[in-house]
Amino acid sequence: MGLSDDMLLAGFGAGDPTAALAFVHRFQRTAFGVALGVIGDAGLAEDVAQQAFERAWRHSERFDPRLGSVRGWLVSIVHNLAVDAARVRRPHPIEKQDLDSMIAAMAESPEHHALAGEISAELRQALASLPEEQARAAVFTAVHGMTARELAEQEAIPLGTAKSRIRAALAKLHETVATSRGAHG
Amino acid sequence: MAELSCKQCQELASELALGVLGGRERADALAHLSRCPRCQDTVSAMTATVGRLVELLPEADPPPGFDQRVINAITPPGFEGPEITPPKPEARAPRRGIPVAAAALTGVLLAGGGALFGALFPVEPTGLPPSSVNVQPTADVMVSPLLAGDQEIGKAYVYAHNPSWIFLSVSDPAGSGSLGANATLTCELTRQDGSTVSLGRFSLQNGRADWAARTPIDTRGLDGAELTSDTGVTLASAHFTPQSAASDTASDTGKHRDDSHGKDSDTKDSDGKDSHGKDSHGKDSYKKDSHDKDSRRKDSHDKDSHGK
Repeated sequence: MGLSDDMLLAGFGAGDPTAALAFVHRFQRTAFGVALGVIGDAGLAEDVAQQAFERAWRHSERFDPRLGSVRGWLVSIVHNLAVDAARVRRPHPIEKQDLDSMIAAMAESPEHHALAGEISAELRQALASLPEEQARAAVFTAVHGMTARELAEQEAIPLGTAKSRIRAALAKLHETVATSRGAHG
Repeated sequence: MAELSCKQCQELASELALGVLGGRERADALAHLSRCPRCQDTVSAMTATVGRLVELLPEADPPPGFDQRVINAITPPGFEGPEITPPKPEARAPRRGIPVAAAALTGVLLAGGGALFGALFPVEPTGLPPSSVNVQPTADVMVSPLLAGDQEIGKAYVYAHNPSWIFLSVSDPAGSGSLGANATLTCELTRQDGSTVSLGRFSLQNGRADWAARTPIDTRGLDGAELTSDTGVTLASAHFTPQSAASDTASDTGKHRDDSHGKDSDTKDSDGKDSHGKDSHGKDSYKKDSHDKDSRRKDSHDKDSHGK
C-alpha cells in the first residue's frame, strides 16, 4: 500500500480497519518474536503480543518519531509486557543453554531479521565478539529483565562481579552503536 | 538521601538503562539525573542501545488467526467497521426534517461530529521532517506539499478509503512559514465546490506537529486542506490534484461506500444518536466531545491493566 510505518500507526490509532490490519501484518512477526524470546512459551507469548498491539492502539498518539522508529516503540511495549509476564509465570531459572542459543540467534546474520541496517549489523557483531560471560550478562539483563543480583545467583558469582560484567558488556555494545551512528550519520 | 556524584551515577548508568536497578540505588540515581542533564543524556543514550539490543531478537510467526484476534480486540461489537463513515449528507439530513437549504451544511456538521468521534488524535508534537515520510501517491494515497506562501512547511496526505483520513506533517522549526513556533491551527478541508469543513485543531511545538483525523467528506470532491489561525487567517494550504490520484480512487471509494451502508445503519442507533445530540455545540466542542467519547470507547473494553 506504500504507507510508511508512521502513517500506518496513525491509521491504526484512528481505528481505520484497513490500516489496522496492515499494521498488524507488518509487525506481528516482530512482536510475537520478542514475546516468545523473553517468555519461551508460545501461548503466553501470543497473549502478550496481543496485549501489546492493544496498548499500541490505545496509546498511538504517544509515539514520538524523534525518539525512534515505530518498530522500536512497539518492541519496547511488547518487551515490557513480556518481562512482567515472565516474572510472574517463569517456573525455572533460565537455562544456560537457552541463553546461549538466544545469544546465537541475536548475533546471527541478518537474513532472518526484519531489522537490517548498519547499526544493527554492527551491534550483532559486537554481541558475538563479547566474552561469553559478558554476552550472557547483557542478554540476561536486557532481554530477560533480570537484575544484577539474579545474574550473580544464576552464575554463582559475587554481586560485584555480576555488576561489572553488566557494565563492561553494555559499555562495549553502547560504544559500537555510538561509533556506528557517528560514522553513518 | 545520599548525594551521588557523576562518577557514581555513571557506574549505575547501565543497570538504570536496562531497567533492572532497584530500591535505594535507583532512587539515588534518579535523584541525581533530575539535577544532571549530562548524566541524563548518558542514560538515555544507553537506554536506546538496550532497545536496539532487544530489537535483535529473531522474528517468529504467531499462531494462525493472531491478526484477527488483535483486530477483534480493538474493535468491540457495535463499533465494527466503518462506524465513522459519513452517510451522504443530503441522504441523511432530510430524514430528520431539516430544511433542505440547511441540509447540506448540517449534514456536514453531523458527519463532522461523527467523524471526529474516536478519530481525532492531536498527536504530540513530533517534528517528523516532511522528507522522512516517503509516501508515493498511489491509488489510495494523495500527497500534497503544505505551502505557507511559496514556502513548503510540511506535507498533507489523504488516505482515500473507508473511512478516509488525513495526515498532516508540519515541520517549520526555522519559522520560515511565519506560522509561529507554537501556534494553534485549525485544519479545514476545502471541497471543489468551495465549501469547507473544519476537522479540528492542533498545536505546533517548536514549529512542528504530526496530526491525523478522519475526513468526514467524500474524498472525490476534495480539493485541499487549509490551516488557519485562531483568528481565521489562512496560514498554509495543500491542494490535491483530482485528475491524478483522486480519479483513480473514485470507483474504489464508491464501492467502499456501498459496502458500508449496511454496517452504517447497524451502528447508527448506538453512536449516531450521541453525535446528533451534540450537533448544536460549536465547532470547538466537537473536538472535546469526540475526545470524551474516544476515551470512553477505548476504556469500555479495556481488558487489561491501564496502570502499567
